[in-house]
Amino acid sequence: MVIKANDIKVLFKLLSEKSISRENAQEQAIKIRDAYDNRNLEFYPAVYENKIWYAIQYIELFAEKVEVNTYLYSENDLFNFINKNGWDV
Amino acid sequence: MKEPYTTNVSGRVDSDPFGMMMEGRSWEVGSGYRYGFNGKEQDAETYGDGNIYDYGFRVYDPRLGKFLSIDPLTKSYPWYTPYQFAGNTPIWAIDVDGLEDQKTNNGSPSEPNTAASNTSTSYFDDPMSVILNQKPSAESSILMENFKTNNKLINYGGTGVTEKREGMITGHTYEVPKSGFDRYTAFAVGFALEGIYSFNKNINPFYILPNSIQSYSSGKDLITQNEMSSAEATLDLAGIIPIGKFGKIGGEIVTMNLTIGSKSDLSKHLGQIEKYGQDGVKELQNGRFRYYGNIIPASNAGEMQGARLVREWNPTSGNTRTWYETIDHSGTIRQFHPKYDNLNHYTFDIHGKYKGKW
Repeated sequence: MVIKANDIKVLFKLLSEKSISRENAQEQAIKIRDAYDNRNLEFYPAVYENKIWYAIQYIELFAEKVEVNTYLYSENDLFNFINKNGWDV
Repeated sequence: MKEPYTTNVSGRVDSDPFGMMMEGRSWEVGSGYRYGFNGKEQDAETYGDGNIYDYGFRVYDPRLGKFLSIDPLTKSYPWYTPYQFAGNTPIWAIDVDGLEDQKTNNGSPSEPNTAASNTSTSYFDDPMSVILNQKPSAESSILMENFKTNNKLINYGGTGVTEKREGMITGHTYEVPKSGFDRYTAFAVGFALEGIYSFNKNINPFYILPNSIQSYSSGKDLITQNEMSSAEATLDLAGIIPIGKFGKIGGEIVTMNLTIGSKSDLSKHLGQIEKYGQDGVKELQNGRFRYYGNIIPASNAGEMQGARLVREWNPTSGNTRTWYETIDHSGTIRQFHPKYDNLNHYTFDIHGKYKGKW
């Protein structure tokens, strides 16, 4: 499986537009992480490996809740992360 | 022969044994001097003059006589409260860096701390002096200041490309020039800093050497197996290693390559350190390894600081488990959410005591 920086960009775009739920994005992030665990993941471009991996972890945790109806991270957190880490959409 | 010198006193503060300033008993010429009790830097902008000191590993409030967070070495000192300062013996001891107390006055509790020891003058505070000319000098002070404030191991003001590396003993992040003569100077200074620190902490620096020597002799990086230049290998030997090469939890150094048998296990282990263990790796007593990811901060989640991903690996069975931990501002795990049990969130109170699940 190849994970491209552009795929992550698209995922962030969908998340920020709420075209995809946090939980769905999390599922995709877990699939990517599983591919890494099974030694079946290639990062493209390779120089972005760390950046892509950090984004995957963020997307996974972005669905985390502190109570039944309360997410840990706000939408502002998402925008800040996107801007700070150069995933501007 | 000693050279004569004069000292200009630019300020004076009277404080109680725990460092709280006494009302009306301080003066300063001008403003902007940031250092105070124990020679540590204040955060006057946020908390006011003399109310908060940065000890490196933790932040200290002299009005409470306590650190604001738990001692990363608390498990090694079960007889102390995890928030204690200088072993709760501030007349006898200083706190070097927010980790442990350091007894002064040759260990005699009957003699009060001298001004010199209370302002933390030691070789650890100015190790450059050991390297450069055996006595503190303007140059050594500038270099040391640069190291303390910017974590730049060696920088004479050049604009060359640098890389971040981690001290094997201190856990400090060093910014090391990628090329040029300064890189070699960095090696010498880093070696001295790590060595002096280990001497101060009674850590035997030689226990790190088997790994470093392996890199040096094989000419290959232990993690990536890439060819290493001699300069690179020398930095490894000096104990200044690439970030993430070894795990550490809050300043405690954890060796973890002792129970891993096969080469593929080692490869899997190193891969997990890189991808899951950015904030540290712990070897558990049952032979498992736990890898802690960075805490990703949340801006407005009340008492919660953020969350991180944690991975556990059993080298014997090959099984892994992954979960999310939500951490509060004091570093306590308040929620545990295993991915293998997706429906349940296990919650804990501020003392880490189990509350229930939802």
